[in-house]
Amino acid sequence: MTDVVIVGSGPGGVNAAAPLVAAGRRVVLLDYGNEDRHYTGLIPRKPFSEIRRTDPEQHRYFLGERFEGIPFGAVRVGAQLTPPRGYVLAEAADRIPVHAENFAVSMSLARGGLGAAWSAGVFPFSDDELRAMSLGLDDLRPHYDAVAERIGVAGERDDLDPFFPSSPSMMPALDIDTNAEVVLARYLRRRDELNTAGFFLGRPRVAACTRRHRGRGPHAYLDLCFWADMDRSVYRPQWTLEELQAAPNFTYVGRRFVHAFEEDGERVRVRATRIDVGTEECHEGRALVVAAGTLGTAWLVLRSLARYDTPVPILCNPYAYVPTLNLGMLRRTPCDRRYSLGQLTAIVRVPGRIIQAQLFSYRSLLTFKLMKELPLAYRESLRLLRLLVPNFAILGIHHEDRPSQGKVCVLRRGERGAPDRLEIQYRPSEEEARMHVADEGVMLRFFRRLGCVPLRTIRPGHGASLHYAGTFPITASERELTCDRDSRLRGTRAIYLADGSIFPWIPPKGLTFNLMANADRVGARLAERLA
Amino acid sequence: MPEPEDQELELEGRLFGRYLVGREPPRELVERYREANRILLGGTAPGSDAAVIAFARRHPWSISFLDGAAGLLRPGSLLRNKILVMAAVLEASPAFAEEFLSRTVHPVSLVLRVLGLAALAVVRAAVGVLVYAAAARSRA
Repeated sequence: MTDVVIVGSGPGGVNAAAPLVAAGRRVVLLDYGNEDRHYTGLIPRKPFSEIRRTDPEQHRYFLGERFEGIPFGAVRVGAQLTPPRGYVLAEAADRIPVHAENFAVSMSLARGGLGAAWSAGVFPFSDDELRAMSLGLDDLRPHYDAVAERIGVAGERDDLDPFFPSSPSMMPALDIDTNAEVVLARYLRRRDELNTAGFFLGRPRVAACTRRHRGRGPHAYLDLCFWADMDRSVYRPQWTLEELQAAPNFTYVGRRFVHAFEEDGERVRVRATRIDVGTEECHEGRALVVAAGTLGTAWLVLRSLARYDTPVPILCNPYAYVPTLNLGMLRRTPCDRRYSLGQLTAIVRVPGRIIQAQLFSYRSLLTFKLMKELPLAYRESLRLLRLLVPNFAILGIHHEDRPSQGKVCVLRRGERGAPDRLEIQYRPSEEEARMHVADEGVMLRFFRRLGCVPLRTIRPGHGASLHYAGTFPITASERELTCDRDSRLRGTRAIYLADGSIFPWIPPKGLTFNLMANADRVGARLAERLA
Repeated sequence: MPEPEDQELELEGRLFGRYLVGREPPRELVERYREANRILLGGTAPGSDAAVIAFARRHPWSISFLDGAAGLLRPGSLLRNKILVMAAVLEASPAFAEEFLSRTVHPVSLVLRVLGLAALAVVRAAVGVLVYAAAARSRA
């Protein structure tokens, strides 16, 4: 008999599976498993700037075969979701309908889940942050280390060390680009003064290999991180899945849509549809780990427990980005050898909390997307942007998120044969909105001191960070539709959640690395329990 | 024999290409523009939008003014979307990529150019508002 059935091959699913498989448990992973079979082979292994000048086929992957890379209307969520990454979101909205006003919903049925388009920022929670989640750094530290070794993390021990606990396996940091070098140099010259004021800057920890690791990397600095994974340096859950598939006690069952589970004595039954033939099937195990992504898991859990019309909390880090003019870049020519992800991480310490920002350059996306954002004739926009883009430093500012009555997710029964649908209402309080604006002001004041002049604050809207969380939080108190400290869903014997669902609040940090560490913890504990 | 709509799209492609980068795009890119229009902008446009596009085809000198006004007042209009499509098509081709890649200039030159372009954009938008009003009322 199968020991553990896992639903989903995203960052949570594969990192829960890894310790179980290593401990010899028999694991079956059920997955919808969409893949890109088209774009991968089209992109040449050359630097982005060279491709732009030489490849006559570039329109096929930069714009997409159906021109899906040309956005109209308001600012689109997820710059990293370029046409070659389009498969990551494919079919999810049809299978799991979500009605949400003023809240961007991105779900994935891809092999690797949303992790297949992850921007790879590694932001482990601090002890204080974890304690406010009924956990502690001691609970997660071994799993942070295990996951860091598994996925490969590049970084540096610098001024950010107090905010992001280090891992022993950390590889040397990626080389930052010219834009970031200039800002970092200015910071280092004024470091004492800025630190005293509560501002800290350093190289980001990135889930990418700077040396050969588990058959991946090192990073080739082709500036194609948003388009392709050709050097396999940046982590994708698919890499772990491939390793797992080599183990005899692991079975990957793809092209399955899991729509219900139930417990029966010592067994858990999972019901799935074979999407190629439409037939129903049932998988049994001693325990179940649900890692379908926060929204997918909410749909599956509420449906399986028949908890229609019952609100559960929903969280998502509020996010804003601010193009700034980096005055230090004037007269400097940016180097083409670069990677495309976050170049620097900034932390501002304010009483009782922190504000976090990432600095990016706008180099490896196309200029016409920026032209759309300017209220000028396109010809002048183009000429202006050609001059200004090398000097742009773009800040992505994340805020913490906590549950409130205005942020809820409800499952509604589908009518007349329609699938059940989630409804999301996300209305932060006015006080929260005021605090976000004030915090952004604080962060921008520090960047002005580093020579970065803010041009405009863009708020892409609620849900834009894709850091969905908090639907079945770990709580100390025994409440239904919550999890215990082991991430076991209360009221069940052996149903565990291993994605963002279990976080009762989210600090202003990327969630993915933390949910992977918790998934590793779930897998490791379950392996012991099932011994 | 090409359909009248194809001929209109071909003309637009050539005009918008010349407007954006100062030279006419090759047939292959015009065809790509046509295909993108069919896929992305295939629905029926509001009457005033169609009239503005028709005006732009009849009076190519007006495109920069119409675009300037639309950028300010109607950023989601059909004209803006069509020019954006042409910009995307041009940018994703090696023959025109250089026109879109960034360039580094001396800071003084940068300031002067930015001021010049901003002034030009203001003039275009101001004149464009009048031209746009006339175009929106013209025959589609």
